[in-house]
Amino acid sequence: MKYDVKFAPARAKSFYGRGEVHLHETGLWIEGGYPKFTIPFLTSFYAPLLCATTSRTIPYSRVHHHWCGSITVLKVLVMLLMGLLVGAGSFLLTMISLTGGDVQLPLILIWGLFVFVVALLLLTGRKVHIVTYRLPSGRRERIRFQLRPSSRAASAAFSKQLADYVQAAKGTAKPSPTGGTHVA
Amino acid sequence: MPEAATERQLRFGPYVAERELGRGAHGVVYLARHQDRPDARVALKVVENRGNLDKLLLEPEILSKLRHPGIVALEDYFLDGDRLIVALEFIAGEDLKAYAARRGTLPPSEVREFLRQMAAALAHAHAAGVLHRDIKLTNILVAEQAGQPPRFVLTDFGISRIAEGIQVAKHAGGTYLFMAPEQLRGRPEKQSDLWALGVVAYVLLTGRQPFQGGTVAELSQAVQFTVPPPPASIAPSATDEELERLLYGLLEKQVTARTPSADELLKQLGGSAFANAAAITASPAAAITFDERTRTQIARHWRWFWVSAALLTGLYGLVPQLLVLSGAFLFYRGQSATLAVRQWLFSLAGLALMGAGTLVSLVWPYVILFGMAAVGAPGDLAVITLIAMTLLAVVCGLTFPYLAFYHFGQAHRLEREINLRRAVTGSTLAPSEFLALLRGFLDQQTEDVRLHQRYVEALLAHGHPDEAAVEARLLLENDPYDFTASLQLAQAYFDLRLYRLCQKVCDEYLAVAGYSFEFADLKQQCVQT
Repeated sequence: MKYDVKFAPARAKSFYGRGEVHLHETGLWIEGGYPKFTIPFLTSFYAPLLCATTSRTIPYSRVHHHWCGSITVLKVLVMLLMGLLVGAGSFLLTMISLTGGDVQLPLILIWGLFVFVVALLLLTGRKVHIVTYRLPSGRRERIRFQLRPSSRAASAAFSKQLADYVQAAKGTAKPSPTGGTHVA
Repeated sequence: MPEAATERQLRFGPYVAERELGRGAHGVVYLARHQDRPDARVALKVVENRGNLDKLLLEPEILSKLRHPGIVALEDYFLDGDRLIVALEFIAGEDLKAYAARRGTLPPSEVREFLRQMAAALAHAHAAGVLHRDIKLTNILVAEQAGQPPRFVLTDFGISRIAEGIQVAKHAGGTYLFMAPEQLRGRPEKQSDLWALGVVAYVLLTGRQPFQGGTVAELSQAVQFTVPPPPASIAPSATDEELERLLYGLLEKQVTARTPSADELLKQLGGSAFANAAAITASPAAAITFDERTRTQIARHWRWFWVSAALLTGLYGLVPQLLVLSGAFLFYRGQSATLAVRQWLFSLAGLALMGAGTLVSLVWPYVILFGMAAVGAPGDLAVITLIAMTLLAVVCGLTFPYLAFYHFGQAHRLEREINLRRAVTGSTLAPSEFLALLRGFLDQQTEDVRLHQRYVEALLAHGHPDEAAVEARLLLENDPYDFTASLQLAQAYFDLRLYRLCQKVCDEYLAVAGYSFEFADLKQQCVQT
């Protein structure tokens, strides 16, 4: 079963942009843009330039954890917190300006950051799937993506099928010496 | 007409047989009528129960889930003593094999119509969780209709199954000539039906099987590693670039690269099944080839990329941003370079240019202000100009990067598509040329796993297991759990007679997946050898 996805990278070395996730009997297969190299802070912005199409396979037995959920509540909380902080900061700076201090730059910075965070929160709104798995070395990797087109039914179907496959695979695979497989 | 049927009327429950239509290993098919509805004719399948009733009941059970004009309809089924009687819709026509033999090769427009109808039927079956698993010429009936395109109907769901979780046991069954690589290994999927459909369409278009072999082993080798020649190279009348692309999409060896679903195939064919006669007669072949069209699109994307990149900074920071962009470009080339010297040279030059661009962008506003002061412009005008240019830069900076990146990404995607396509159609070249072509593509796109897998496939097909082993190992360095690369590596070791290594690869994968009979089989072969 093929799903079109949009990756939601949480770290520099991760899939970027749009791609595909295939739920196959032999494993979860992911294809998308992966950075050839990373530039601190700039990788996500220049991702289309830095990424090359490649793929990764995750055997179901090595899936450590799958989480699917919306971060709406978290987003609202973060926005409220940001609003409070910006309000308090602006009030403080206004008070400082009344005493003759130069507050233009801090104000611009504070409001710029606020606009940036709000825009970021508004731009990311779908259900996010996070699959954590272990590499043969034992290192834990994480892939985050959103299904496109996103719908509750598609998301639930994906989660259910993945859970079925993981359950079936973990019943037959040997546990990884590095702890990748949780066998009941 | 068999005498037995003509001399006395055979009765099966409420059905009266008129004549025998065909006879197979499992039973006989009669043309029959219901005693209460003499106008309605049915194809009555009479199957002897040899202690396998559960299996026999599977077909009517599956058919009862399906109702589609492209699938033979189930009218009724019941047990009559020791026999299972299945009443099916009677299709007045012939099977596709006889139809193709009578017609010779079919024109591309008719093959498209065939694919469209079959894709719709398969989409319906797959949505109900049913896999046919034995699509072939003799299991498709054709009913010609006056003034309409012929109706193609899928029959014989005898070895079908309902899709259900992971297969932990091999599923045998099917016809070798039409079996997909994964089905040959015992793991049929929904996309295996699409492969078989591709094989049938290829035969209709060219009159030749895409994969051939004197023995089952040779045929299996051909199915797993060789690429069929383009239809146009066999039958000039089959020239239809778009259809050829669809066929190669269906005949992709890797399930991940194959047309993902019957729905998707239907979409690619452009619309619903059972189109009117006009649709079939209208030639879909475009005036220009698919490659030319793609190249035009690539050129357009590059053009827009450069326009967007130029407009990216507005007038405000054109000079510094051009420096930064040039630096980024050099840095990018440096990082992609294979030679270490070039890598360092380009990367350092790129970083230097990016640094210079950043420095210039910092002093740029002051340069403008000083310039305006030098020509005696009023202070207010200088400030207003500076603000206006800053705003313009912000607007451009927010809009054009996305456009530039979008066009850059699209151009790269299309270039990859062309390479992948040529990696398939290039199979008509001499083996050494084909391998060199793939190697060239791979050098350009080192991370592309699909291309890499295809290269390993070609190496195995053309008798270079040593190189195939090296390449498969490289693939596994990037993606340590890659199923195909692991299988290719094990196969390469097997071909090199390095049975211990082959067994080790199999053991490693089996430890991870546990249920993979593909590796279990190969391991067994190693042990036996």
